[in-house]
Amino acid sequence: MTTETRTPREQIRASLIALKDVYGIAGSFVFARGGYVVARELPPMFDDLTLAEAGTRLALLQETFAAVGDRLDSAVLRFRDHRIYVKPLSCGALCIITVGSVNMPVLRMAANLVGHRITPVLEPIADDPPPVDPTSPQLASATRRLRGRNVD
Amino acid sequence: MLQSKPRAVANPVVDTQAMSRADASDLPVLLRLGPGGGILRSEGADEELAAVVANARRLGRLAGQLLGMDPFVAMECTLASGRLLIYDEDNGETVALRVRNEASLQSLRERLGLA
Repeated sequence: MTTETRTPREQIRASLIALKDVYGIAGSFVFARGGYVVARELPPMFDDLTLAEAGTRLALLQETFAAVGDRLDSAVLRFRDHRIYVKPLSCGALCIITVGSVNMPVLRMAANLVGHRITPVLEPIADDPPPVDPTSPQLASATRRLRGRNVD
Repeated sequence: MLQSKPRAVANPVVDTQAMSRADASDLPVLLRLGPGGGILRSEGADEELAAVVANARRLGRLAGQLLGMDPFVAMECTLASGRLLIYDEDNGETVALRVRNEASLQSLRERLGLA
């Protein structure tokens, strides 16, 4: 019997890395309830703050349909050169960014498999507060707001 | 951020009038919204759906903008109630179509120039 020594975030990230085996997938990220990013496998040009802001919008997209009694099972956002595949989970969502042509049935299947794999790992941490990175732009902006109100 | 190049191919302005006649069985709902979100045409849609479409399109476009993926072209939602296709036209209008589960989304995309 093996014991899982990786943290939940590391386990989720390992699943995201596997997604990159699908041709056309540029990367992916997972956000929890509320939109904060739990795990990511994307180039560094996508900073966590931007992903969190995008995650918040995509969480609201789910809520938009929920508000009228419907349920979003998946969404494909098509842009000129890219697509964002959103797979809502019980406690957040899996977002996959693709570039150029991608085999959509394969993408859907991969998203379903990864979604099933990460949901039990994500559930226990979905309501945890986001980790604080002392170098993150989010913290820097919070500090500026505090200074603006003359709070040391 | 991903770089956004100038748009090379314009979205066609679709003749939804003709399409609605030809595809009435596959597209039970057709909704056309103006740039301000007002309903320009509605077949089988109510104001609640118009609000949902306008908000979903806004959120999808915003998420893409944040990730450097402008311009928004379309959104395909698989819902408990069925499939919903939302796309922008070059004149600034937004069209939403409910697509029956048996209908081919791929052939619809090709007809709309979204493939």
